[in-house]
Amino acid sequence: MRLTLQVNGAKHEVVLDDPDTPLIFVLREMLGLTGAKFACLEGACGACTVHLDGAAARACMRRARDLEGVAITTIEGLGASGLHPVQKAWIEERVAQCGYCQAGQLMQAAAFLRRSPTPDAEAIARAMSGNLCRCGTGPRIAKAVARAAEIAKEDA
Amino acid sequence: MSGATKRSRLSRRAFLASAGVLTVGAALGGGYAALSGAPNPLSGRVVNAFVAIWADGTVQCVCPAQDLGQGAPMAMTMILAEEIGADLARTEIIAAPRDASTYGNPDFAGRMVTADSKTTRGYYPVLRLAGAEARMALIATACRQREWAAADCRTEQHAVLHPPSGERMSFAEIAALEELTLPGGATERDLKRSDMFTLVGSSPADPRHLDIVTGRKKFGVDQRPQGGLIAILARSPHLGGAPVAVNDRAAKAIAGVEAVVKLDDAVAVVARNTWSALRGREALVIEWTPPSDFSDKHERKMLEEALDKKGAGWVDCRKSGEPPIEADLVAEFYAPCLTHLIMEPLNATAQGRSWGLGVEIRSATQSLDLDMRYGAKTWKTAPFMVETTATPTGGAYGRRVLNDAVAEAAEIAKQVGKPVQVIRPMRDELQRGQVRPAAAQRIAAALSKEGALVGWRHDIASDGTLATHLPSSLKGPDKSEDNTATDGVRHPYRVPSERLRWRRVRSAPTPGFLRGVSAGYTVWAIEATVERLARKAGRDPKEWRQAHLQDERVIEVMNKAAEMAGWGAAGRVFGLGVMQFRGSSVATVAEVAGAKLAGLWIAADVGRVVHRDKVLAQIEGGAVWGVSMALRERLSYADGRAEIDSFVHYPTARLADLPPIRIELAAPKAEDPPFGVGEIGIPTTVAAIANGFEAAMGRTFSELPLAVS
Ligand code: FES
Ligand code: FES
Repeated sequence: MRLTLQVNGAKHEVVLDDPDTPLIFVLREMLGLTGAKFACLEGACGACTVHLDGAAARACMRRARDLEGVAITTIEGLGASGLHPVQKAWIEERVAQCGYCQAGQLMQAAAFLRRSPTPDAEAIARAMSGNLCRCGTGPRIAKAVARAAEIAKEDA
Repeated sequence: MSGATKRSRLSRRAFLASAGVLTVGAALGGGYAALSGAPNPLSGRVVNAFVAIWADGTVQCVCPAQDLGQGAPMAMTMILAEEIGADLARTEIIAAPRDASTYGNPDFAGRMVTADSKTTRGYYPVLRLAGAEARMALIATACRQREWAAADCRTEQHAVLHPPSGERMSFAEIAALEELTLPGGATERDLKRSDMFTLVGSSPADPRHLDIVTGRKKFGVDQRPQGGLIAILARSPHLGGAPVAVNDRAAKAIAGVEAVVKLDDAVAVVARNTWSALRGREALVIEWTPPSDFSDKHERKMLEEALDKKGAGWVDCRKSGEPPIEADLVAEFYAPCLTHLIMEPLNATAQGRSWGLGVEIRSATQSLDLDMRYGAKTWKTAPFMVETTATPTGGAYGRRVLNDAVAEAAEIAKQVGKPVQVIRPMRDELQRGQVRPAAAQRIAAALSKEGALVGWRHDIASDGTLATHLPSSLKGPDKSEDNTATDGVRHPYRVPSERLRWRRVRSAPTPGFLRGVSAGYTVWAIEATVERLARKAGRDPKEWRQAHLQDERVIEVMNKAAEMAGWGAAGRVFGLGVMQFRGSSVATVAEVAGAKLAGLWIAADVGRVVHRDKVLAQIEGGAVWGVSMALRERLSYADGRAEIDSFVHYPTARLADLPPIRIELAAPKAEDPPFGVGEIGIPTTVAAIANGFEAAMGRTFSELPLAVS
């Protein structure tokens, strides 16, 4: 099966062996975009989170063939023009430990802040609770999301 | 041709390896002596096994530990740079090759293993000497050139300073000279005084953060060998299950599937990409050996019965005074099996070398040494024919010490004759992977009429990870104590009569090392008993502890945590946990409000702090684990298998479950070395939370996770 995907602003032709191939493997193994990770492969950990037309989605649960015409953004394309506020905040707050979950966390946070630019702590906790960080960076993630909201305002 | 030019023609790896040979023994217990004393035949730009200075003045630091996200490469470099007087921005880190005689951790019997909260602690003295030696070489070379006296010089910001003349010579200028003068090895006398430290104890920015937030950091699963295949194993969900009959017709028909390989206990689907391998695995039709009737309920009964056993089989950990005691309080505690839940799937790549005589292993690992053993054994070759490389790991927490994916990769690569990367899906690891074994404990304690502790018996029954996999690493006078099962049992309280002991009960799930090991539950049992005793004696739990503690550091952190939390404030309910573990002294106070965990305050004396922010991050991460272990985690078994078909069946603490966490570090004492930090956030946090809920709910808990809702 041949399809055209729009990833990080560029068009890519891909040929799939299996029409059901999940987006995560197309990104990682056919387009070489290994920034999005995988862990549970059942939509429950958030490691594979990307943006589909600006909304957060689990790339392990979406078939690539359903996404023609959708703007797909991965961590590699998040800060298209310099670092995105969440990336800046993550560096400032020194969030990452191993970093494996963080691309998913950042994509989740960026999509969330687009919808809720001035969230309170409870809304942040709710929005980010579907993304597991086993290293235990949760408390710093919460701070960084709040900080990113400020940075976005300063940058605007 | 001078030695220097000859050597600089070698590749960097050869360069370092040859330097390594000359300092054999540096880490093998010899520690201090090995780098000093004997005339050092090196000349040119390699100073020793840990430091090289390149022509532009860049100081290259060799990191003997793996990058697990804990910050080891950063901490190792900071220790070297501090002693050298190097500017961190002009250092470069490279990974040490597998050469345990040079790069083994002295605290790990000279092995290259990154675990047990021992990395910074174990390498600190070695790296300081290596750094001091490099500093002395730079000073000696500058002195040769400028005719200064070494005693007048010091290093700072990547230069040798000569205060009498006010002149300086940068490391780059020194490195541009034909040869370095090596004045011989450093000794303890040559080390910088800790009150002169400017880098150690600070929190320099870590360039890895940028790589992570931009998705550029490459983990094991992000690195496929050229022309490599992916293998996914089908394993019985039942413990000990093995394939009896395999129908692989449908699997082989899937596009991208190249081979199906039968192993002793699994069937591997080998494919050109991960998705094909996953689909191939789903398409296999396998008949497995019949399941056992193992269940956690049955195991718990066995563990609890073991506590009643008399006579042989007990391993004493500490003993004093006159047994037996008349107990005032007897309490039992049960901790379930737990799994690591590493985010990056376990993975390893194997590829034949030297016409199939040797093998190259690349893996997200905690130990090149142990990877080599798996590789050599499976490939049936000599250790030196096994090349090992580590990638960064997406979480480790002890799981990647016994990195069994290496054996699978080697076995499959050998059979298919091509490079193969094994990726273990999370569900398979949850069902059949290593676990922290379950444990039953009983504590019996006796009080004097005045409420003072006069007798203490702590019995533990569990399987042991070292006893199972590495029996030569057992400890104690008769080599029978498994510290993965007894860590944390040596409480800090004064008591005239006590006996602490462990009894091994073999378990069906495979035991593994998990962050905190047994301290994740022994400290809970001790501290819960202590608070119950205090209440029984009608005393404040903190004040009762104070009366029984002897170590000043433990007392200090306890009072500090209590002060941070507002201990004793009217109308608030607190629980406390204290311990000394991995050399560090730690106290956690937990507040429970209503039926909810409302706050955590942690004070820790971790000795010398190298990278302050990373120490705080380790403790905070540990505290999150503590919340998770106290309130959520349990791996249960029935009918011979883990009752888990999905990641969501293993609940962990999520962001919404976490209370605010405050952490403070005690100032290090003058010449303190660093103590362990990787695991210390866990045990007292579990204990404090349990005690907080006991106080709030007016009941006791005898098992984890606490049934609070
Ligand atoms: S890998 Fe997609 S949500 Fe876990
Ligand atoms: S930083 Fe390691 S899993 Fe989140």
